[in-house]
Amino acid sequence: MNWTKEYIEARMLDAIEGNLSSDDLQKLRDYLIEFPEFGSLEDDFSTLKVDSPEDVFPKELLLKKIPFSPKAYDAVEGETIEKMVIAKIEGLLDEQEEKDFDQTFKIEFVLQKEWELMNQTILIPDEKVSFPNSASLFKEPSIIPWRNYLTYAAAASILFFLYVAWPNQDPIVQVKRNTKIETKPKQTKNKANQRIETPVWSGNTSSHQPMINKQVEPIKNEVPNCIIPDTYTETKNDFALNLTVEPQTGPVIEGSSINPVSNQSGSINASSKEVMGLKEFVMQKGNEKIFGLSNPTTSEKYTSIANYLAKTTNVPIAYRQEVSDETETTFFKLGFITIERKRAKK
Amino acid sequence: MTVSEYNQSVKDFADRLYRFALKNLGDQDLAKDFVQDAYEKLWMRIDQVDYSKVKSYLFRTVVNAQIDRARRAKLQQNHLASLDKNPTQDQIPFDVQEKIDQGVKRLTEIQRTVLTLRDYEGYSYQEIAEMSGLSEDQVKVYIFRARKFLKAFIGQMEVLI
Repeated sequence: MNWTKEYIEARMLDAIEGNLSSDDLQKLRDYLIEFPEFGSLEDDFSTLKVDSPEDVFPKELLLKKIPFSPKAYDAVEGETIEKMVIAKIEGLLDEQEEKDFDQTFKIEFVLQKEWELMNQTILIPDEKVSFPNSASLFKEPSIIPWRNYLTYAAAASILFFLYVAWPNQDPIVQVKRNTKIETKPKQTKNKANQRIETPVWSGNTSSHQPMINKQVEPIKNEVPNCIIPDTYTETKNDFALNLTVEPQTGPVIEGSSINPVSNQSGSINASSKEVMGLKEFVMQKGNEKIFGLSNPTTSEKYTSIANYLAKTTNVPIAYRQEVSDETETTFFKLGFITIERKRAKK
Repeated sequence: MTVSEYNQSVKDFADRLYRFALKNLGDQDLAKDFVQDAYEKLWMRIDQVDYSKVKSYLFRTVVNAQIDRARRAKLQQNHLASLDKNPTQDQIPFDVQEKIDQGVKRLTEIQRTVLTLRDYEGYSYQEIAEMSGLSEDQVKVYIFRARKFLKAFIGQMEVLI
């Protein structure tokens, strides 16, 4: 055998690939030991291996993709590349189109350039810009003034009631002052039948003094603008306590007394079960105590009550009377509501 | 919707609404008025508008106001006239954002509106269609044309630069 260089290399390759018989392999080893300049079978030849079968060449790079027209823009006129890019930006490509786009994008320079330009058309809001006067847009929760409404309603009710049901000014039922003097109030077992007089203490203010009913002389109204005093002071001497009311029959006589201290807005006496109305209450107070006049005119009464209500409730209430030759006109004003009542003059 | 929800909507959307209006109108005072009007209308219908739809309501109000204004002032005609102008006559903007702003100004009113609704607020075609009174296809086409125009405009500028 002629051991040339080429022959030795060929046998070494056979050895690496396992194509040598054991005898030939031994002969090759012996020769390489004798002539080490040709190399060794122990050298690592693994690095000499070429690509493994698992490695796949990216064949897609070699494939040519033709730009496609997205279905979303079928009906729209324009270049295919533009449609592709805009549809991609707008998210209108379906799954297959997305894949095709990605593939085309890798190899198509025009598409890449188009994509770059088209992305600049996406508008980005400037976060620094803000509404200059946003504080003016905020609203305060509106609180419903129920209390005011109730006040208005109460005042209106009182006014209306007084307006409609004020005691007749007819002389027959005009004020009658009880001039009868009693040493002390009657006290019977049947309190319901007890008559109540307008009690006025004479001199001594100590309790259980004999009361003297006297004629109330007309006095000048000392209250400015005919306003009811803010605090109507009632001493317990003013009235006979624990007196009850005899149910009144016939026309109501102003000046007949009851005990307003007991319950000004309800029954006079619980046992009597008699409800005292506002009209009676006003009458029993006595005109001079309420209006500062013993015999006020209707207009003065209304004005006085309206002023009083306006002052105590802070509600704009007013009363006004206009008298012409033929008519008498009265105005009740409650806030923005005005009630006008016109009557022919008698 | 409650008062607190209304106030929350002011916090959440007033700035965005303003940006949207400003981009479309290009006038700060006008944009401010539009936003205030939108909130005033919302306040007047506070009992009728559901909080979940308040954003849509506000933008729809502004969009409608813009469309009304455009109709009244016949801005579209002005716009068409301005389109005839050669862009090179204007000062060439070097900033990309400036370029885009110039391009946006040259869009038609409706293109600008749908594009800003899309890009600024991310509304879907359906939502934009509801707000602007257009069909979805119309919205799609308007946006397509707007982008196409802007791209061409920007490209033109780049060439010039």
